[in-house]
Amino acid sequence: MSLTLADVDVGIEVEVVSYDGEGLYEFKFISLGILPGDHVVIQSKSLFGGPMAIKHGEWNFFALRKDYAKKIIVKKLGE
Amino acid sequence: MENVLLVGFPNSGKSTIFNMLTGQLRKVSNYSGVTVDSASSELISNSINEKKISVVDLPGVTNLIPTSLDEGVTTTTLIKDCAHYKMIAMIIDLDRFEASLSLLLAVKEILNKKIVVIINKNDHLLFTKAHAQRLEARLGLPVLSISAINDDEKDLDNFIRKHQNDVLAGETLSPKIKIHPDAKQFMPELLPDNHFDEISATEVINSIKSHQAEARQIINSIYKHSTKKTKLTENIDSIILHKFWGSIIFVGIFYFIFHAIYAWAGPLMDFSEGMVSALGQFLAPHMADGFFKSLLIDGVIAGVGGVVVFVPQIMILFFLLSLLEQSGYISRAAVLTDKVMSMFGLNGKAFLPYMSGFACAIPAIMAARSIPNHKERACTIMTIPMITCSARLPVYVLLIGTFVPKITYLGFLNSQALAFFFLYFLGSFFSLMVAKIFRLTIFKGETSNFMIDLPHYEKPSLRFAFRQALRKGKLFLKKAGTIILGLSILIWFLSTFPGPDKKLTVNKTPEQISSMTLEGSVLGQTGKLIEPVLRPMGMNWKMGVGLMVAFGARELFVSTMGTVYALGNVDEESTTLRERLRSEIDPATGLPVFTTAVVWSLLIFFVFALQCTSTLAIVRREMGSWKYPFYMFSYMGVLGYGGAVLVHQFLK
Repeated sequence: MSLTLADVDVGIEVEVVSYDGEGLYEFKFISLGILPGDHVVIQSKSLFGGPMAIKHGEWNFFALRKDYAKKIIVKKLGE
Repeated sequence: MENVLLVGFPNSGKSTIFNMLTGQLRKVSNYSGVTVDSASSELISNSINEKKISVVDLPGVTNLIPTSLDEGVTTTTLIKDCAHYKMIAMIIDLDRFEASLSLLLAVKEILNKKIVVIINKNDHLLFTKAHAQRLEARLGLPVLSISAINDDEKDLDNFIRKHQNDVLAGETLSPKIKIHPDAKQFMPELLPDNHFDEISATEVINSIKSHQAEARQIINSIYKHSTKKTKLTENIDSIILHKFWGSIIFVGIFYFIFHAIYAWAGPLMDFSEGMVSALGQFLAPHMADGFFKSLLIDGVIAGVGGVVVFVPQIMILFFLLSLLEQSGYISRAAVLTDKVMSMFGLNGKAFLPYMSGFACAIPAIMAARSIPNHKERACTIMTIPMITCSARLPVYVLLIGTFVPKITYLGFLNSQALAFFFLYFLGSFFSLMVAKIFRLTIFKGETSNFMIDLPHYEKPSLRFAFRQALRKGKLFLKKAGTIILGLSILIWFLSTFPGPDKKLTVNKTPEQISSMTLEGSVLGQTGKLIEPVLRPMGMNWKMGVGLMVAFGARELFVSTMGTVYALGNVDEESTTLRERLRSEIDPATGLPVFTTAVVWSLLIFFVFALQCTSTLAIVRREMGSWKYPFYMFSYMGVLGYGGAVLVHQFLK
C-alpha cells in the first residue's frame, strides 16, 4: 500500500507523488493547483475524521475531506 | 447590445460581481440552449450611457475541460458562441490566485478575444496598484483589483466600459479546443473538427499542468507573501483547528453571537417598537376617526412596524458575521462542522445559516449565499424555517406558561423548560432530517465541499462590518417590507369588514366591539367555515383565526387571541389573557376548551407550519422563483397539520 496524505501525521512535511483512483481526481487536484512534486504539511485533523487542514507550498492553506486526502499519494521527504 | 462573459472559479464572487453590475435584476435564461441556468442582464449604467452592454454569468469552472454538464456550459459558450460576445471578464480569486490564474492562461491560449482581468477578494487591499501593473505587463491584459463585498460598482463599470472600446487585431472567430474523449458527453452541442480536436487524457493533464506551472512562475515574480503572516496563521490555526480546543472556542464564539442577538437586540427592538407605537399615537389625534385612520394605524403602521422590529437582529447578526468573515474564521468554522453536516448531506458551510435560523429565518436564508452548490443551498434554504426562530417564542411563552404545569423532576429539571427544549429540539431535528430526505430525493447529489480555502488571518475592519450590516438591513426593509405592507393592509381589511351591525354595538366597550367586528369579519367567518378542518387538531374557530392571522407573522397569534377574547391590547405576559384562556369552557361539553391535547396540538402546529410571510418573500427573492416558497409552504403545512392531528388524537 502506498502512503496517502490521509495517513500522514500532523506536522510532517511530505511530497505529492500522484493521485489514486479515477482520472477525475487527477483532473480536480491538478486544476486546483496541487501538482506532483509540491510539498504539503498537515496542519490539523478534525474530530471524528472530519476535514484536515493542509499547508501547501510556502503560503497556501486549505482543508480537504479525509476521503479526498486518501486520493493523494505522497512520500516522505528524502525517500 | 454588446455581451461580456464572466468566467471564473466556483465561489470566486462571479455572481456578486454580476449583481453589482446589473443591480440584481437577475434574469435566469438558458444561454446557448443548454438547460443549465446561466444569467444574462444589462448593466445598470446602460441608462446613462449610449453604449448598451450586457453581462452573462457563466457557471464556475476550474478548467476548460468539463467534468459535468454545468461546467460544459461555460466551455460550450466560449467556443460555440464566440461570435456573439465582445469581451471576456476573467474573475481571479485572490484566495486561489495560482489556480484561477492558470484558468485565465488556458482561456487566453485558445481564444484571441478581448480579455480583462478582475482580481476579486482583495478585501484587505493586499494586492496593490504596483502588483496590478506588474501583472498587466506579464499578461498583456488590463487588470483591476476589487473587493466585491466592500466596493461599489463604479470602478468596475468604468473598467469594463473603457476596455469594451479597445481594438483587437486578429480576433478569433472560430476557436477550437483540445479535449479528451470523456469530456465530449458534457458538451453535446460542440461538433468534432469544427469546435474541438481530440487528444489523450494524459496530454490534457499535461497542458493543465503547464498552465499551473506558468501561473506559479508569474505569481512568484510579482507577488511576495509575508512569511510573518504565514507563521501567524499557522500558529492561530494550531489552536483554532485543534481537535479539542478548536471545538470549545467554536462553541464559545457561536454562543456569544446567539447571546448577542437576544440580549443586544432586546433594547433596540423595544426602542423601534416604541418608535412605531409613538408614531401611531402621534398621528392618531390629528386624524378623523374612521376608515383611513384605522387602516393607517391598525393596518399599515402596526403591520410594517412588526417587520421593522426585526431590523436590529438582522444588523447585529450581519455585523458580527462580517467581523468573523473578514478575520478568516468562517472558513475554519466550516471545517469544524463539515463532518456533522455531511451526515445530513450538507457541508460545513450550511452550519452558519442553520445557526442564524434560531434568531430569525430571514437573515439565515440570506446567509446561505455562501454555499456554492445550488442544490445544497436550495436544500439548506428549504429547511431553515423549521429551526425555532425568535418569533415562535411569544407563542411558546403564552401556551407553555399557561398550560404546562410547573413540576420539578429529579430536583433540577423544570417541566416548562423541558417543554421549551423539546420544541427547539423537534424543530432542529426535523429540519436536518428533511434536509437529508431532500438530498436523497429532489436535491440529489454528493456533498460538494471538495476543498475549503483557509485564507490568512487578517484584522477585521469595524467600518466594513458596519457597512455590511447597514446594507443587509436596508435590503431587508426594502424587499420584505413592501410585501409585508401589502399583507398588513390585506389582513386589516379581512379582519375589519363587513363590520358589526351598528344597533348591536350600543353600550358595548371598545374591546367588545372589536371582538364583534372580528367575529363578523371575513376572517372570522372563514374561521368558522374551516372549523371542520380544525376539528381533527382539536381547535375551534377562534384558534383558527389566530392561526390564520399568524400566517402573516407568528407573533400575531398572541395579539389576535387577545382580540378574539376581547381584552384589547395584550402581550404574552398578560395574566388576564392567561386566566381567560384557562377558564374558557366549551358550551357543548361543559369542559375546558384548552386541554393538554389542544395546547400541544397548537404548539406542534407552530413548530412546523410556515407562518411567516417575510420568509416566503425572502425565499422567492433568493431563489428567483415562486416555486420554492410554494413547496416550502406546502411541505411544512402538511407536517404541521399532520403533526397536530396526530398529537391531538394521541393525547385526547
